[in-house]
Amino acid sequence: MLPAGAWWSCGRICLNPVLEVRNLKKVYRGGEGPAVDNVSFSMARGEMIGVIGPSGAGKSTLLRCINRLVTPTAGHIFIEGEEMTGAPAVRVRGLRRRVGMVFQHHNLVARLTVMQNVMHGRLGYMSTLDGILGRYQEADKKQAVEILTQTGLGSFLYHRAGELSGGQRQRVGIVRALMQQPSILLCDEPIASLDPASAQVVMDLIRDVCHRSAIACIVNLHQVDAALRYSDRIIGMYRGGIVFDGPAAELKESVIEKIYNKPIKQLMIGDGIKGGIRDEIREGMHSGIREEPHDGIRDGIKEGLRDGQNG
Amino acid sequence: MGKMDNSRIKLASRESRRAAFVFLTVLVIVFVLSTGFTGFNPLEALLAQGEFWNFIAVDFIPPYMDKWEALLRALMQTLYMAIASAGMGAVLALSLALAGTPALCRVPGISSLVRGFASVLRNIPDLVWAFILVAAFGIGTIVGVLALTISTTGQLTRFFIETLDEAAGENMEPLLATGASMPPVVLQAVLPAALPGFVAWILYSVELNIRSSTILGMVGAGGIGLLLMGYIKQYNYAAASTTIIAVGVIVISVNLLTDCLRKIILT
Amino acid sequence: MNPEDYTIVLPPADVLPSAGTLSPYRQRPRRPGIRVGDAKRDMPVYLFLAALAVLTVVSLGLLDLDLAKLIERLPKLGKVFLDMSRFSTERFSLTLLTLLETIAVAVLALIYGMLAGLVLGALAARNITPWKPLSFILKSLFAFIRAVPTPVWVLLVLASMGFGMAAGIMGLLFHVVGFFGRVFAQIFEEVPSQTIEAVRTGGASRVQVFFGAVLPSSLSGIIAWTALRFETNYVEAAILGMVGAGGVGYTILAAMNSYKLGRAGLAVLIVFVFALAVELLTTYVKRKVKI
Repeated sequence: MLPAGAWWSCGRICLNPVLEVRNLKKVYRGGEGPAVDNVSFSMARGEMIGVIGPSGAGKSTLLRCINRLVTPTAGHIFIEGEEMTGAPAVRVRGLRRRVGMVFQHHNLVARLTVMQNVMHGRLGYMSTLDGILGRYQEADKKQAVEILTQTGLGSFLYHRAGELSGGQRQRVGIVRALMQQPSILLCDEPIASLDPASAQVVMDLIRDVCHRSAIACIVNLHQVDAALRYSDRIIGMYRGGIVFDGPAAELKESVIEKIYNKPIKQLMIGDGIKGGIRDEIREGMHSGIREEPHDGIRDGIKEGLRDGQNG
Repeated sequence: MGKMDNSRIKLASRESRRAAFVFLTVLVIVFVLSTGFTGFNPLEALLAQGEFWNFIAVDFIPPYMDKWEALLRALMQTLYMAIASAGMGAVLALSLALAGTPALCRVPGISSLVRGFASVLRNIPDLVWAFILVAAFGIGTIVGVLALTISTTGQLTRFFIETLDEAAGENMEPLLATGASMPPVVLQAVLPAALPGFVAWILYSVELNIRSSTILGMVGAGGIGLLLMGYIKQYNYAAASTTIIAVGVIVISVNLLTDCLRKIILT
Repeated sequence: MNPEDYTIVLPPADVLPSAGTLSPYRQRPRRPGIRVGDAKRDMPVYLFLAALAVLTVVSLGLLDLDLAKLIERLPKLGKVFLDMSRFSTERFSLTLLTLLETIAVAVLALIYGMLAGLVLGALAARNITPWKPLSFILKSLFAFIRAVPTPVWVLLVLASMGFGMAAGIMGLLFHVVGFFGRVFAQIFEEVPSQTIEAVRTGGASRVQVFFGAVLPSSLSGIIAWTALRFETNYVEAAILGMVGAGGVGYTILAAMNSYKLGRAGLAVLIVFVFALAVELLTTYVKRKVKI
């Protein structure tokens, strides 16, 4: 296992990047100006990137271009060296399997059970007929039960998703994405509609998954403080373009103010302001992950994923 | 404070006041036009009410019936017509709706074609369908079943498309993002999410069909309507009133039953 | 939650069936496997659908439909449609005139019914009725009125008042009043009790409460349901003619009966076009006021 902090130290240039985005551009029909304009970056396994920027900066579009939920206007996207742009539908589906996605509104089917929702993550691997009939592999189900148990949802397996709290639903959403055994995890505002306590649990889970299972993780975040605390690397977006790309520690307050066009004090909600945050981040980076109860989760997920790959 | 007398303070938002104003203006205009066109005098009609209730009281009360068996048979026939056409309509509407929901069927043009077809089916009243069918098949139960199936299909297709659209909006993106192809996504996520909506609409169409099948019966499609029309034509008002009460009872009991089912199924 | 809580005993992985085998028995060994769905809670929906399927088939059987005749006469249906699509403009002005009649009947029944429905709905709404039992009595009455189909009411009115548009309007009114009475009562009942209490504690009279608090908070609902009811009213007014009252329905009936199918076809087309326009308008209004 790599030491904590190693991910971001690889900086902007990575060898064998798991994801590479080159000159990506997206113009919506009827939209004014490009939503994403000339965006290029690449990332390594296990790296966690926080994308910050005001609403409308193109964060969501960027994520959706990566798994082709939105078709890019121009540019290239390589997932593990394979080009996603221009690929035919069948190959896009194959590539999508390797890219998990977590949504702001968790987007679970409220009437179905937690298990059913989680198993949806396997649909990409199944034949169409098996998918239609919902004939999931026992091994996959076993793995789902394990991951759910280890994320603290073990007693909710057969609850309807609609009956869970917001934080629990988001965790189910994450487990669903993990069931794909992704090499990349895209999180679109995963904590925007959660209370602070649940938000912390969810962000901890995402970070643990990312670091321990070496999944490259891109998290769109509204909250600058959360982005600073959890990300190895920050990408700042403004009007569709990247205005900052580097380690969290290098993100200057002046840059944040430029991205958001607002004084820093209005952007830090909750946690300490200014230097305090920085220190905390550094501490967090070096002491690894702080909250102890999650050790089991991390190992469990990792093992679960490995098992799944073999089985 | 002194200003209050001159310019009144607005209590409602501009938008809601405008909506109410437009609504009322339209109402007054069409009211004046319609009254002018028909020459309908509400006072006259009110006076005629006396006559109407007198007629009801004298000719319809007390209800009387000697052919209970015929009544029961006709009632059952009406029920069968309503249920059979709701069932067939639901199946047809589901297949149409799957093709007609733009989120599910990406073939361009199909969606508008299906919607247009459904709109023709439901916007031509079922009684008109019945007349067209009578011209081809002659009088009989089959006309009633077909006419009801046609209008049920039209109605349900519209509602099913709305339901599917809503279900697809929230539930499709994350599943497509897992790399799944369309058929499993529809069957595993969209349909389960839409199912309670479907059930509610089917129940609604059963309710509607019971009433409609009575009406269709009156033009010769069989069932309780045919019986009722017969009694009225024979001036057998006592029997007609029994039949009307029977219709009322059956409609109300079906509504109670569907309400009950709704509660059980949808919670 | 720690892993020890997790007690489901699973078969070892190598016992599990592999992916490719498509033996029909693969699914049979019905678990020691892991459930995914919650069959018990989904049961009512599936039971309902199964029951509907069975009832549909049984009903079709009991109706004893003459399928042979159906198939035999199917070509004739095609011919009827073909004849109807050869539109004939003969006496077209009469068709238009009767369509206007139908619309006028629908409008007047709607408006008078709405006025009556507002008053009766207020009396029937549990939270503002002056006398609680009245609410129950009125609601039962509405239910019965609506249970009897409109053409029956129209026939009764025709029998007592004679033919004419007035009879059509009166006949339609029964249902409109029954409908609005129930719907408005429901809308009024949805007004939060705090709203009513707040105005009432201010010393407002019953009528003031109604006009000051209840009516304004229900306005969007009233507008939406009125628009929706117009759709129904138009269709009902159109078919009234077919049971003997006037309007465009009678024109269609008369044309069909005298085998002037081209004329009937054009009338049906016009009825359809106007119905479509009303539906689009209703959808627009519903979206505007958002119910």
